[in-house]
Amino acid sequence: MIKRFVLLWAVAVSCLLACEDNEPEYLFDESPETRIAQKINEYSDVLTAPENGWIGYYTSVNNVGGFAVLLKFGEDGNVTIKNEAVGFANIAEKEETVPWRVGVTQHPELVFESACIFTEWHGIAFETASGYSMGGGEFQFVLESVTDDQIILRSKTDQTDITYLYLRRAESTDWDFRGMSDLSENLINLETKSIVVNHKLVGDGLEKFVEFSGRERYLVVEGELGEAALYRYAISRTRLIMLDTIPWGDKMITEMEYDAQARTIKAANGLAVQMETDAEAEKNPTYLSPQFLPELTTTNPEVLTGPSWIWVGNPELAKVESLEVMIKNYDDFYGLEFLPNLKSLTIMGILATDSKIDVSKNKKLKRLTVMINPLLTHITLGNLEELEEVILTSNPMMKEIDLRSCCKNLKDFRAHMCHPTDFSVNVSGAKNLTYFAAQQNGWTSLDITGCTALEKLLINSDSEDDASVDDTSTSTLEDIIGLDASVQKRLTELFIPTSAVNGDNIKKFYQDCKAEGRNLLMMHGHSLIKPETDPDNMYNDNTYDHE
Amino acid sequence: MKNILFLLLFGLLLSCSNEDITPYQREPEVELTDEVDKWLYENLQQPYNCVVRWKWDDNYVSINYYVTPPRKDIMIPVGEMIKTFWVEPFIEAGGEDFIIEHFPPEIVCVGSPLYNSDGTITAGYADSGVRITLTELNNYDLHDESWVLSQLQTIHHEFTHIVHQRHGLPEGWEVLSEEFYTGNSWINLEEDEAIARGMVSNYATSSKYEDFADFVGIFLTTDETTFTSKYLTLMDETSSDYDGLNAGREILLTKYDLMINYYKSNFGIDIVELRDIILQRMEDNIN
Repeated sequence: MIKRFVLLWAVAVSCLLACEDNEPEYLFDESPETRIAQKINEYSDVLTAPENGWIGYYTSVNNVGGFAVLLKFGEDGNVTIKNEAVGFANIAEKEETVPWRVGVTQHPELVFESACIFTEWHGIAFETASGYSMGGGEFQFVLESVTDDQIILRSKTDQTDITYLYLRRAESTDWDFRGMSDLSENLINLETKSIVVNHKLVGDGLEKFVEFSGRERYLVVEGELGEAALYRYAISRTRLIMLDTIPWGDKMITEMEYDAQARTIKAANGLAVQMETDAEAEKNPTYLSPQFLPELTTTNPEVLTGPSWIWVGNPELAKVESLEVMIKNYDDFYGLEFLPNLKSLTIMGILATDSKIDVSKNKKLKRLTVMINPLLTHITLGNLEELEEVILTSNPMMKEIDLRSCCKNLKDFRAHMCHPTDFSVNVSGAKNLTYFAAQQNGWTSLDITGCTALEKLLINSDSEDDASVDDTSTSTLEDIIGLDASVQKRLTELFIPTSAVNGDNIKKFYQDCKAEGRNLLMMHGHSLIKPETDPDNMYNDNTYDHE
Repeated sequence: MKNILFLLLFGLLLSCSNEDITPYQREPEVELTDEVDKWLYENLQQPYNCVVRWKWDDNYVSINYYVTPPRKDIMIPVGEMIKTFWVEPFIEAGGEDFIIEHFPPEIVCVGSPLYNSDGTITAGYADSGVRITLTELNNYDLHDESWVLSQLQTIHHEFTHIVHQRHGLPEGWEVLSEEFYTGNSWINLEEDEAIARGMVSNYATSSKYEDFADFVGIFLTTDETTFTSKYLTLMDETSSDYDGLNAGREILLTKYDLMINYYKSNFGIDIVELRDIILQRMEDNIN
């Protein structure tokens, strides 16, 4: 009996083992694969459902407004996309058909599988402080939210500047873009062109400075004094649709419209607010967007107000001591005057620039470097008492540099390869000037009257081809005004162009030095002149003594 | 006790027998409705067992690249280009079996350049002997000589990788310049410096594999006169025009012979004839 009991027990245990359920307990009725497939089908059905498809306003970056895209998803795996022209990126209005799919990787996603309007945004080059950044156009979107009436798409591959595309069901009239290009053109014509922020949104008891972009479709609106924020918009055939609503007192501006008669924009949702020009702002700016803003904010980000303004009252501006503007296409340097403690300014490689640069308000300026600026004609210096060093190179349109008013502390002056036909420099009165060098032709005059500390005065022609012969193809310096052995008592190196060997002041300086027995290294062109080895002739013609 | 053990074993066996083992059933092929898919299937997948991936799937391109998919309208022309300048020349040069055997199972098409995070561009690449990725296809223009040359050099460069990944390099190749490979420093070299090291380009100096792939890629897309004078002809060292590159050219001459022999002895392909066919087709199509 016991044996039979054991046997029964063993059978029971083995059967129990056989029936043990090791499978996980399903919380849902279907497997994950089935549920994912169902979700994909569900999203696909929502996408393909609307008779007139979907409309949204696309931008690949968060500082540019939206441009209309209409999407009619087909069950055959193709989507017809109609896009509004994107003028600033030279993208034309068009209709195209590309394959699409809904899939799942980490999240459910909508993928436009071949090149289309979204990938065209990828090719846009956006200007940044350090050059250009790529457009960031997205063609793979995470399906953030899907309902019958709205789909929210999130850019899948963006790491930082994540963008969203909101789609709503389109009406048949949405596919008709007539009128949009006219409105777009009118808005472009409203763009603020001045460096000074000289427009305001006015109405309902408030006034706020505003910068308006018609091309890139945004407004920058002042908040509290010294604060500003960017608000993006898109356009329909008749309206500006604010993608970011503008707070206005206790209300919100959600739509605006173009007023053709007044040639301005105004709020369209019951608020009496419109954009107006503020003539006073040009005379007395509160905000400005200088062209050197990218360079300035790269090293001094705290001077920035909003995305693109400087508030002239910002105390951070007083902390800026150095500014380098290099290799850019500038036409206006206005704004330097709001950097009261600027000590070093370098303007180099500007291909097209304002014909004049005014640094007369930068009273703390010590070092000024202006190199390779083909169109620069003049620098307004004013009375810069702390200026110590001036370097001018290859500014062929600049004919004159007069440093008399700012020579109190001037120690070093260099001008090379400017190539004008009548270049003149006046440093008279620069009692602390110790070094003056210029390698170029085309002189009209050089005045060093009263430069008592001068130790080196080095004037070469711009010939670099022949070590022993000056380039005399253009006019060169024939004498130096103010050169006097009794004044420039510390001058121990004097290089003059060959054209100046018979200049009265130069000959007299040489003779006086020889009479005094002063140790002077003197060259004309590339030939060495030594008073002590020139007993008989005015100048000898020794070639350069390499010793 | 024996019975107990038997019953236990029987019970356990019962517990394992509730799943039927069925043989693998190939999934039914989806009927192709897209004209591009159909063309690529009929012209490349069916005859050469090569799937052309043109609809975007980010599993095929590293997330580290900044890229866009190709335009749909250029995909059949790109397929024609692959046939005209790649498949058919090999077949015409007696390499039909070679093409069928070596043609990559997968070609991934990318519309834009492959922008790297450091701002450089990757022209294309071959993966483990099975996949070639072609880039910048959205600039498709058969009349743009520089684009065509760039594409064909990439195609033949990458295809050469597929070949050597399977058969190895020509015997003796890797010792000819072994002390001159520079890795990532290739970017700092000028072309003359590469020739002086016995290589056809600065990129070829990055490794022995790139050396071979670039040699073949450039050879197949360069006319004989240019290739010979630039890489293979020794200059008179007493001449005032002598460029000091003869030592490198002697290495290149040896590499040239190794390449000719490699294709002839392994695959029965006269690579000079192949080059002439490709160049003739370029001339016929570009102009």
